[in-house]
Amino acid sequence: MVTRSIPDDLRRLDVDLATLGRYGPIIGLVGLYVVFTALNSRFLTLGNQVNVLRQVSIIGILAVGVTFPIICAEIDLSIAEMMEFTGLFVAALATGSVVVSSAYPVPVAIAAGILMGVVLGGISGVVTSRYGVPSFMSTLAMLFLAQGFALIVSNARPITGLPENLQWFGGATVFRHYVAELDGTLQIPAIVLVFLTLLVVSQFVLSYTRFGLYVYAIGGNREAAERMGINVPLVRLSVIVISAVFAAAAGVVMLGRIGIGSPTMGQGLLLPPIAAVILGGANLFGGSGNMVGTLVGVLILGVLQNGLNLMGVDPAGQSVAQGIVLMLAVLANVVAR
Amino acid sequence: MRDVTTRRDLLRSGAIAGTALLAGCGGDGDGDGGDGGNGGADGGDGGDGGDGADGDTPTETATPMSEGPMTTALSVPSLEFTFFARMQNAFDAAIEEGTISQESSFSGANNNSSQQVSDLETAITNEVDFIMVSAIREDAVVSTVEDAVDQGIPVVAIDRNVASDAIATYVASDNVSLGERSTELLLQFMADQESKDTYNVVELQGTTGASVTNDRGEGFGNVVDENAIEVLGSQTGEFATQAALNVMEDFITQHGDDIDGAFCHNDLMALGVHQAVQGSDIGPIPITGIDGTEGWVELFGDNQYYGTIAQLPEEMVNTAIERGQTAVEGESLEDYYQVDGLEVTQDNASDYLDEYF
Repeated sequence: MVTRSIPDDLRRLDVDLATLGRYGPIIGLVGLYVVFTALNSRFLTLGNQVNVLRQVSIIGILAVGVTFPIICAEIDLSIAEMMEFTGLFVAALATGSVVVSSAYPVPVAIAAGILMGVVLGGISGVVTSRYGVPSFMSTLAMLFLAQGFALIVSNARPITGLPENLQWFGGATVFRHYVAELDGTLQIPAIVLVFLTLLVVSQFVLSYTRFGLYVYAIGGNREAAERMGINVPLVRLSVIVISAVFAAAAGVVMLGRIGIGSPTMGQGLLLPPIAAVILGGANLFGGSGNMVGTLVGVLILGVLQNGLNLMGVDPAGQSVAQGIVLMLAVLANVVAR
Repeated sequence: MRDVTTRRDLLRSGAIAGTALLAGCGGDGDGDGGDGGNGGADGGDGGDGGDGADGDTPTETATPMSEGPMTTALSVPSLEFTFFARMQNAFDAAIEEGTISQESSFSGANNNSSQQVSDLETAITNEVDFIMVSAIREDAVVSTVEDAVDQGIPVVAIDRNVASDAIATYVASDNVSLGERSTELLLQFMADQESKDTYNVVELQGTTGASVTNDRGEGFGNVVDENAIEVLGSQTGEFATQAALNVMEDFITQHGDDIDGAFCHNDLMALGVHQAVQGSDIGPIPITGIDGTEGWVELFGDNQYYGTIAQLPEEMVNTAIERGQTAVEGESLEDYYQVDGLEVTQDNASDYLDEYF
């Protein structure tokens, strides 16, 4: 109604701004690529790009998982510690080193780890959906719980001697091919495959299943969704369980990536995934967002870190640069809305 | 009926507690209470031991106040680090042996400075005899520490210092010297591997702003200045394996074969560097860390040029308890007590693992 009274050329500008905003994250990512390519000769090499993908995979898996609760207007603050605990749990089972006396086969250990994710996610999910505790609090409680469990299960020490096949998901390279034109070896690390597979499956669930529709509906307006007959508690429970399961998957992948189970491996991994989801254009208050956006957000964070490292920017400078980029990116998101 | 009993019990226990308190205060007032504490810790039959039992009060109430072992609180940044977990074991062992009282408490602050401040405030509220603290950031706990000292509770800084003159003393490895020794070890490894005019190294720093990071970095810098070492890059790996892994991958992308060695501010980061080097084609390079983490030392068997300077947290805790007790007794202390690190290489790796793990 209002737009009708706006002159034609101004309205076009408005549309352009909105479009600009919608593609803001991608434009930002391309911008980062342009800047780093100009500033550093090694940035745009095949090897480094594979590195970037490898480096963002764990944050990426966590981000894909936490996208579900965020779209549903929930939050999961336990992802990093959950990743740490389930990872260490799997490591402890597979090596038979700490809490168990004998080593279990790797598939059993992994299945147990994922199941642990379901159980713990289920607990915070039930507390939230059944008893109405905000997920901010229930998952915060789970954060401490998981951290404690992680220390218990690892005896606060790194778990070493992981079986080779347990390290496959995070450490193996499934495809290696020398590309003469680019003077580099094209590698496809398993960790990247795991990340992208989970991402594609998640996007599919969001876009093409009834469950995905419900997630958006509840995130947009919970009351309206309830009156439409959607089983709101079940969906709210499910998104938190999904997030926990993805965290467990990230834990397994992390073991292969760093080659040990470390009780510090969740450190600093809570906010980057959530920031990535928001950077990718999702609304922190629910109702919008998608996996492609999350991928872009994850890449913005990863590329920024990688580029600054290559340029040898010191930690203080890195923090400043990250702050500026984040501020601009979220500003662009809001302007677009 | 039951109500009366309860009230009577209450009165009786109140009287007992009151007597005990008086006895306790008397002991303290004499200035011999501290000595009695030591006697109790050593064998339990020091001459001053009689003081506490004077009032014929139940010993469990009287003991902590006058002649039993002192109560202390130890606050560390985070139990995620093996180093602090070993401190906890040593602390528990000290309780077991009766060096410090059963009420002594140990807390890990999840790397959160405000959490650490609350941990310390709890210790002050509990009126412990002395506090031991390993500060997350050397400036963040200053005012709390000064509060404690104002209330007559001496504070011993352990491993990580507090930026205040109020502390009784500081017990730690000298991180500057640890940094120097680890860098010297690296230099020796690089020279053994290949003789060159200058050696190119990368530095994986700890958490930015932590005193350990600053000191270890300073030690590294000292050795770099005196020798033919070129620093290709310095970056923070947050003392964590996965962060160090990412940073090392980027170092390798940028500098590749030019890297002759890597110095890490702790062993967890050395593990990440090892992983990055394994996944690249720059071949094995010398890597040294600091701390003596089990998982890192275990790799020495297959890697001749890996090493570390191990810290001995058990010794640190025991020294700090001893100094804390001295401080409570009001005797003077040096500003700083050094606990030396142990150089661990392939040669003594298995002995080290056998002894401490």
